[in-house]
Amino acid sequence: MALLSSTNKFCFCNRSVRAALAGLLLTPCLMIPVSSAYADDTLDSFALSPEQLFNATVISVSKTPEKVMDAPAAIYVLTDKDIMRSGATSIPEALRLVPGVQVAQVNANNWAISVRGFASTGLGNKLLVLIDGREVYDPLFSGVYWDAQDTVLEDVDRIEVVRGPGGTLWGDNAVDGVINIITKKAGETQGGLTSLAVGNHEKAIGEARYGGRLDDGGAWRVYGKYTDRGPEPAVQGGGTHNSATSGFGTTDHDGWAEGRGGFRTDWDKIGVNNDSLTVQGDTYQSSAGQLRFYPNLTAGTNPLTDEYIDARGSNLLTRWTRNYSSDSRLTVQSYVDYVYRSQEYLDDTRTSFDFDTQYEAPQMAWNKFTVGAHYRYSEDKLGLSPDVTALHARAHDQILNSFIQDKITLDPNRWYLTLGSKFEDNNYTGIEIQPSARLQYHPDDQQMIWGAVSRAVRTPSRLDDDLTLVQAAAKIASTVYTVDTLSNPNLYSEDLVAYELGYRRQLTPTASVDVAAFYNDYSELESYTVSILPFDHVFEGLTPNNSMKGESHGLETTLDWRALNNLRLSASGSLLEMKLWSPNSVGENAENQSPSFQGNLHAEWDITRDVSFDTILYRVDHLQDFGLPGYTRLDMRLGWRIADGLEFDLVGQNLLEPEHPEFLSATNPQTMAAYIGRSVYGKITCRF
Amino acid sequence: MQILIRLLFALALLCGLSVTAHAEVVQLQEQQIKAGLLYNFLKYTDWPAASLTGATLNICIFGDDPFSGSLNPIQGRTVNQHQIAIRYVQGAGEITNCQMLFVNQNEQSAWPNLHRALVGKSILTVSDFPGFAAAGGMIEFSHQNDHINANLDLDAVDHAGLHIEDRLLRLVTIVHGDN
Repeated sequence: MALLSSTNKFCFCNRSVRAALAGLLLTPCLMIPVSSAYADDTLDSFALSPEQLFNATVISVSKTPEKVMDAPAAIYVLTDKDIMRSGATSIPEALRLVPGVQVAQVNANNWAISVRGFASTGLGNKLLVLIDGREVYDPLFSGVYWDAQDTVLEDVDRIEVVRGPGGTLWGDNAVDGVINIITKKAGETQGGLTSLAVGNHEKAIGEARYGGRLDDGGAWRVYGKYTDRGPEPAVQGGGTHNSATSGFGTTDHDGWAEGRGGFRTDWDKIGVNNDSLTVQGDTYQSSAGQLRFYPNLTAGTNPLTDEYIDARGSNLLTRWTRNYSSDSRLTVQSYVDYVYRSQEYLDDTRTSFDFDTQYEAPQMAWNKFTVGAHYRYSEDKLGLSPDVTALHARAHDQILNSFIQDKITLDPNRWYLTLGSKFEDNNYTGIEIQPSARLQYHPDDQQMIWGAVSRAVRTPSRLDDDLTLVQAAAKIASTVYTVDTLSNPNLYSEDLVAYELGYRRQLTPTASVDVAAFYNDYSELESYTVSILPFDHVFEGLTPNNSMKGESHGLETTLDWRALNNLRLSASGSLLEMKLWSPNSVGENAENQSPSFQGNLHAEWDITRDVSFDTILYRVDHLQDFGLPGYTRLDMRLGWRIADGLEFDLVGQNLLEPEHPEFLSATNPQTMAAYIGRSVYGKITCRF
Repeated sequence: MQILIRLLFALALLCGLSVTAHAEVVQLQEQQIKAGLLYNFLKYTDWPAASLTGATLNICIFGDDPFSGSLNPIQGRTVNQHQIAIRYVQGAGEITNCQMLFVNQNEQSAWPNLHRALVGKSILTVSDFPGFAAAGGMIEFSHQNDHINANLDLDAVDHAGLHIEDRLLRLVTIVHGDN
């Protein structure tokens, strides 16, 4: 039963690798003084011609859309500036700044990211993640492989994070939150950018991007990125990584190398209807490693194995928008996404086709309607082994859904009620209905109070439905017995009804506060029936069922204050308490795998026009289930603009201690998590 | 590691040599673009002589100033020998001396009233609330994709006795509102 002590029993989700596609990069700045875009606060807009002004691109600094601040949901926007100033070198690290998002690093290439609970290694299965409208949620295990998600961070426009159910507007699996990563339009990334970061942990991160204009008014960019990260300093439970090997295509314990490239092309204001069209695509390969105990079915042992994870993917997306008026538009988006992932005992090749359309109707007297439809077809082929078996090596999944939402004006500028529902048909559980009701009240221009009741579901994954995994093996009197996780094709969706209340206020022109409280009522959560079969070679079988229920409540707050013209301070904190019940207690330990408190303090200081300094202090409470103590983490960044277009950053992360564990325990039966080490790196960025 | 550090230096050197770029695509804050456009609207609009009685050309802001300071430098500039001044107005009674009236988008609910008070006056009206040009306003800014667009109701401009030069008309979207 010790094997049940963790929810992450199926850890193909963990990974690592050393990857690449190196060639693209390190092509230093080309010495061609080409036309490029620039943003200059000192530029005199009165000296520009009307042609120049209508052609000017709006810079994204102020783009934290007011719309977002008016949304009746717990929403937070991480701007491009926030991301750059955080010193983060990956998307998961950037998410540490978002209040209420729990980011726990498992090893150099794996993060457990969750919102409002249910952290599980690498796969927060109740969190939906989108990159430019493309779902990066893996349907085999239901979760996100963070080692396969990356881009040039300078090209990220913003990351919008919705805490709480997003099931009505976004897809299913947006049970506890949605993370929406949005890159800049090609018109905003004109000219060249190259950067190179080198440090004790970041062996090399090289980026190159170049953007230009087409004769027909469109804009384009291409990018390439290569990353080589070393392993973390130590494995929990003793033992030290020694990094004899390195680089792409080899396993260096939990080291991680990846290479990727891609493009984005945008055409705006096409024809009389101001249509816009986006075509974009990426391709990547990542190699990562992890240490796992893998059952050996002939010896009946579970040796600690250095596992090599190879992840590859390519995608191509088109999005077309017709603007009927400033508040009415039709968007049609379609993409194909190919992903391949290979681990010790399983590989999966998946191709998905996704079609999405949304129509935003113009404001009527009292109503504002938005409707949409979404279709997704996905097929995969598994490479199985004696440790991982499935009834079907190939599967086709289909999801069809539609939603309707109406924002009703009860009293103009004061009371609004937003009602909506998503109706879905999927091939695992059939029809799912996910309604929500949100009420907002604006006592004045400076404040808003909102409340919401919504339902969201997580549909079973292909793993739950079809796969059998050997968790452990033992040899007793020359017979090998195993403990297996079995499948259950009769599972239904996990269900959440969430009650939320929030308050936002602009306290002074330079200070604002945002508070959100929630109560989540979960039912039909996944747990396991344990069968002891002493005469079978499967000694113990774990069959998933929907017998668990639970509740959680919490509070998240953010305070933002521009204390001086050149000094911005922000503080955020979140509290979480969770209680789960299942008939045989299996799965209940998830209630103690998320910190009950976490928070951060962030100071952004522009010392001079060219020198900036950031300090972020994080506090994360202990994780009782893993017996891990809480930790305090200090990150600092010093940025120096040496000349126009040439910047140097010095970043130190985790400065207070040489190493600390953030997730899992040494006694975890499956994956050996790492101590997360101190990292110091220097980065040089050149724009031309 | 050695090689990387050398690369880093090489990169820095190369960058240092190449930062002589010149700009073609201008990037500005949304409010800077709008402020610049207001100036150009003043420049390319002709008012009937009777409505230019004062020494200054007045831009009136109805409601709070949404330009976060970026419009202020317009004061002191001149257009056709008229110095530009900014006035803040709160009620329909204060608009008599305005040549241009910018309506803060938060004041959308006040517009019907304001619109009635504008009848017979040669005042160029501008706002950025959605539907302004359809509701009798003259120039409506919209933020589409990463550009600022303008819808212009030419009938409303004509009714007010104003004339906008072709150079500007070519750059905006002409719409027909209900007057």
